[in-house]
Amino acid sequence: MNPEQKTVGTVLQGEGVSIALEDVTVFYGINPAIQNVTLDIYSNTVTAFIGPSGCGKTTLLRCINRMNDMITTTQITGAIRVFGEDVRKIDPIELRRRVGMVFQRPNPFPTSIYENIALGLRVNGFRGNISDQVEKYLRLVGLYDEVKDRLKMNALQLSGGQQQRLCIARTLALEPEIILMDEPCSSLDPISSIRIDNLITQLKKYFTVVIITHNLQQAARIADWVAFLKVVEAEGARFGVLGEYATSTDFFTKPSSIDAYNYINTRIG
Amino acid sequence: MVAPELPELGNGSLEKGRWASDHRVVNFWEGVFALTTAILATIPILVFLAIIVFMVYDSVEFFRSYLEEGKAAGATIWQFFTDREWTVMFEPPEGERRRIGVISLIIASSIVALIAVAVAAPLGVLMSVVVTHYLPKRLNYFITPVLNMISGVPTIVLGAFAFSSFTPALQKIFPQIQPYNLLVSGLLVGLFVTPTVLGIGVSAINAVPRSYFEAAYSLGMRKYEYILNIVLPTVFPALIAAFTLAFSRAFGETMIPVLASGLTPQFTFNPLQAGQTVASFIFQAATAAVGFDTLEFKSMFATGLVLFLLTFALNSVGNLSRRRFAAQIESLGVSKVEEGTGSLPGEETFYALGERMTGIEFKRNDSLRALGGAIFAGLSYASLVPTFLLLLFLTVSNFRQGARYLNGKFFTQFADPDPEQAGILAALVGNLWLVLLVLVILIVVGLGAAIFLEEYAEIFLFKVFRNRKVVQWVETLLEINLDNLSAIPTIIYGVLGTELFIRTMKMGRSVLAGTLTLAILALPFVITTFRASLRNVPATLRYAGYAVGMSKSQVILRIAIPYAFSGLTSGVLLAATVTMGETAALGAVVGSLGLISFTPFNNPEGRGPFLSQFVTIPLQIYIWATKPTTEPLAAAAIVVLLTILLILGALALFTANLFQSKTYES
Repeated sequence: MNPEQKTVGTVLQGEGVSIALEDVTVFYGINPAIQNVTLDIYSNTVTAFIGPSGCGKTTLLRCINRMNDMITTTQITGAIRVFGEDVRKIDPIELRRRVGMVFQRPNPFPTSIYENIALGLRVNGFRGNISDQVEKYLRLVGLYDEVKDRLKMNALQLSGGQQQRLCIARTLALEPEIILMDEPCSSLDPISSIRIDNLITQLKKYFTVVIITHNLQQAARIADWVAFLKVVEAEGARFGVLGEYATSTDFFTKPSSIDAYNYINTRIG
Repeated sequence: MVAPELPELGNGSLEKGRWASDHRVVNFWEGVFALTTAILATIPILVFLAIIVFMVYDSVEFFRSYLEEGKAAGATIWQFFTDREWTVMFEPPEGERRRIGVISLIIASSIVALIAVAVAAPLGVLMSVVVTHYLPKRLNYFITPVLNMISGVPTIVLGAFAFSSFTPALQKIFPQIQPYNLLVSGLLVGLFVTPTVLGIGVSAINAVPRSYFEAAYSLGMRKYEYILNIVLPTVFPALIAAFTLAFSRAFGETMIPVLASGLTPQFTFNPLQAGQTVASFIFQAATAAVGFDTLEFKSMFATGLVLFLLTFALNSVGNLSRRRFAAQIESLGVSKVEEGTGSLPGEETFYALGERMTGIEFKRNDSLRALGGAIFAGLSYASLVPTFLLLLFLTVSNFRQGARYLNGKFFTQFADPDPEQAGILAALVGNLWLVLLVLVILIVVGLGAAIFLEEYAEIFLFKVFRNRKVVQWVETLLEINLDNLSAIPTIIYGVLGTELFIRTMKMGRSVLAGTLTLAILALPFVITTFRASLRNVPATLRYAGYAVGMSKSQVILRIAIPYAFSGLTSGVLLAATVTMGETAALGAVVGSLGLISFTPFNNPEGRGPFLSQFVTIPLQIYIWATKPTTEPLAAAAIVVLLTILLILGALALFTANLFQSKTYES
C-alpha cells in the first residue's frame, strides 16, 4: 500500500498527509469509545470509515474537528495532526473553518437559503463578495439552477436531498482543506444519494474528504481508501479499534482479516 | 445520472488570507459574553438570599420589640406558638401585651388551602383525563387555553367577584353564611389553582407509554377501565406532587382571602366564619399606614417568614417528587434487557394451560361496563363546567355592573371622589408604564440568566467541582430553587421590595421600587420559560453552527435565539400578563392606597417618570371594590383589565404557535 503510486482517474493522489492520527484513544467518562487508532489520511483522497454500529466511527471523525469538545466528559489521548499541526494547539473556531463537517441528517439553519451560506462566511470574516461566493458554491453542488429564483425562501422548505446539498455548499463555501462527512446520504433517497456521491468524487480535486458510511456500495464507489473499524470486547467494555486500513480496491477484493471479510459479506453488523 | 461538472475554483480561492476573523478577538468577546451572562445569573440567587436575610433579621427585630413592649405583661417568644389570638394590629392597654398566636392565621390559611385542594384535586384530575383521552385534538387547542385562563385572571378580580357576587348568591341558599367567610375563599382559590393540577396531570398522563394503552386494549379493557386501572395509578405520584403544589399556592394566596374572608383574625375551624389568613394579614400590615420601626411593620416579616418556610417546604416536596416521577416514567419507556435466563415454555406447560382453559368462564356484564364508561365520561366532561361557569359569570356580572361607566370618559379622567367623574387614566398609564419597564429588565436579566444556566452552567460547574455527580446535584438544586422562587406567594416579594428598595435603598414608594419588585417576582418564571425555549433548539442545529466555525456565543446569538424566538416572545408576553395583574406585591410597595390623580409623566411633585408615585388598574380595583359606592367603577375597571389580559394572552398563544409549521426534524 504505497500511497505515492496510487492514482485514481486523472488526478494524482496521495501527495501528502492531511490528517495524521497517532495512537488515538477516546473515553466518554470512564467508558472507552475507541482505542489506539493510528492512521494517516492522504491529501486529495476520499477515505471511508466503515464498520458496525458502536465501533466509534463518529467519535473518531468528531475528534478531527474537535466537535467532541462539546461533550464535557470526553477525554482524548494520543495525537491528531491536521497538516502537521496538533489540533489541540489550533483554536477550535479556526480549526472548524479549515475542517468542515457535513452531518447525518441535513441540518440547514432555519433561515433563507442565501443566509445559510452567508452566515458562515460572515462569522469567519470573509473578505470577498459574499453573494458571489454563495452563488459559486450553490452552482458547485448543482443547487443554483434549482433555487436561484427563491434564494430568500426558508431552507427548511427544500427537499431532503436539496437540504443536504445546501449543507455541503455551506461547508464548502468556507473553503476548508478537509471535509468530514458523517453518513451524509443515510437519510436521502437513492437518486439524491447518487448525486451527492458524484459530487464527492469531484470534490477531491480540491479537498480531502473523510466519509462515514454504512453503505458498502457507496464506499466502494467513491472511496480511495477504506478504514475498517471493528468492535472488540475487553475487561467488560466494548470499544472500537482499527481493524484494517487499505486502498478501496485492496480492501474489497482481498481483505486481510476475517473480521473485514465477514463484514463485507454482511456476516455481522 | 451525469455528474455535475465542477467549475474551476481558481488559484486564489484557497488562500488563508481571505478570512479576516481573528480567533483571539472572537474568544475575547466570547469571554465577555459568558461573564455577562454569569453575572446576570447570580441575580436570582441574590434575591433568594435577600429574602432569607431580611426575613430572619426583621423577624428577630419583631420579637425584640415585642418582648420590650410586653415586658410588664410577661411576654415570651413562645407565645408566638402558644397564643390563640393574633392582635398585633391593636395597641394594647396599659399593663397588657399583644397576642401573637400565629396559629390562628395558619389555621385560617390551612382551611382555605384544604377547601381549595378538595376542589382542585378532583376537578384537575378529571380535566386532565378529558383533555388527554376524551376531547378531540382540534378542540383541545381551544379548550386547554380556556381552562388555563382562570389562573391568568388577577386574584383581585376573583376576590372582588367573591365578595360582591358569589357570597351574596350563596347566602340566598344558605342564610347562615357570613358576608366574610373562609369557604368562599377556599372555593374560588380552588378553581384558581385547578390549572396547576391540570398542567402536571396532562403532562404526566401524556408521558404514560403508549404500549400500556395497547396492552390494556388488547386485554379487552374499556377506555374508562384503562384510565382507572392503568393510567391514574401510574401517574399517582405526579398527582400527589400536583396536589402539594396546589395546596402551597392556595396557602399563600393573598387577594382572594383579603376581599372574601375579612381582615379580622379569629381562632376558628369553621369555614363559614370570617378569618384572616397569613398572607392576608401581611397584606393588611403592608398597606396600613405604619412607620418602618413599628411593631406592626416588623410583624410582616415574622409572619412572612412563617409563610415562606411553609410554602418553601411544600414546594420543595412537590417539585422533588414531580421530578422523581418524570425520571421514573422516562425509564418506563425503555425495556430492560434480560438475557438468556428464561426458558422457553415446555410442552407440559401448554398441556396444563389447555386443561385449565376449558374450565374458565367469563362473566359478561357488558351493559354494566358500558354504563360505567358513560358515567365516567359524564363526570369527566362535567369537570369542565365549574371553570367555564366561573369565567362566564365573571364576565357577565362585571360587564353588567360596570357597563354604565364604560365610555370614553372612563379612560380620560383621573380617579375622583365623585364616582360620576372618576376614570382610570392614572391607573392605565401607570400600569402600562410599569409593565413596559419590567419587561425591559426581564428580557435583559432573564435572557442572560437563562443563557448562562442552559448553555454555560454545566461546563462552569464542571470546572469548579470536577465531579459529574456533584455538578448534577448542584444543577438540580438550582432548578428546584428556581421552581420554588416562582411559586413563592407574591406578597413575600412585596414585603421584600418594601424592605430592600424602599427602606434600605430609599427609592420611596415609587415607580422604580414597583418595577424592581415586579421584576424579581417574575424573574424566576421568565428564566424557566426562556430555558425551556433554548432547550428546544435541536442539537444538530447547534452542531451545524459550530461546524461552520462559530464560537459558542455566536451559536447562541445567531442560531439558538432566532430559533427560539417564538417561545421567548411568548414567555415575555406571559410575563406581561402576570405583572399586569399583580396586586398583592404592588399593594405592599405602594403602602397606604390613596387617591392618585396624575400619571407618572406629569406628577405634581415633578419627580420624573421613574420616581413618581403611581397606581395600577388592579390597585385601583382594590380601592374601588372595598367601598360600596364605587363597586360599579371596580367592575368597569375589571372589564378593562380583563380585556387587556385577554389580548396579551391571545398574543402569547399565537406567537407560541407562530413558527410551528417550520418545526425542525431533529
